[in-house]
Amino acid sequence: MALDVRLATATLSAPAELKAFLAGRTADGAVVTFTGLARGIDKDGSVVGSLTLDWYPGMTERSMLDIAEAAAARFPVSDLVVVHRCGDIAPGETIVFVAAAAPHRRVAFEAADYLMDRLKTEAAFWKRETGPAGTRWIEPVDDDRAALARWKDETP
Amino acid sequence: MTRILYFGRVAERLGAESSLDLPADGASMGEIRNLLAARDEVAADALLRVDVRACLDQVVVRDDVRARPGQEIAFFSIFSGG
Repeated sequence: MALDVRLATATLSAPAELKAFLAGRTADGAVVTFTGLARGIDKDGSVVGSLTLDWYPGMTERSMLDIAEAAAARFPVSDLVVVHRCGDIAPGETIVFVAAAAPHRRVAFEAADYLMDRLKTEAAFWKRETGPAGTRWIEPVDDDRAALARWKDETP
Repeated sequence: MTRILYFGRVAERLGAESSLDLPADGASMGEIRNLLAARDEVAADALLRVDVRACLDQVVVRDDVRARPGQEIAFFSIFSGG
């Protein structure tokens, strides 16, 4: 069981991460990945020039690791990887990559889903979008909270 | 001088960090918040909000928790999530 949790200050390559995660994997029948991209259009339809994620060195990594540890305690996965960008991110760039490996697919799907629901609401980032109209802070929306609440009844 | 770190909306208003002379026996996080807020109106508006969290040694704490010189003190708006 390995947890690989990292902040990426420069680029994040989902194909490279997946390749490394798959290498030498002979005991698992399933790897599920999620790749999150920075969008160039926000949900109101406005153009987003760039996204900036501020972070608190040390605390942000800890918050990501706490979430990964909770996922590992909850689902019988073989390995997890969580890589999150910070700093300035252009539309189309990968902002987050998550992968879960397990002997069977259901557990891998659930672990990746759980990781993303918690990262979207609880990871220690402060996010703002900059576009033609200026800068706007982003906070978790009701959909994110509802997604997180799906897991609450069984949360240890 | 003890460094005070700011993040999120607080950093947008007050910059990434500030500093404060903390008494040798420390002060509560609420007292520290009030001392920083007393500096000017912008600081008061940025810090005296219920959704601005106090954080000691990278753990979110209540305002009655005591901080001592040398500990890492931060104030920030709620997390956006990833």
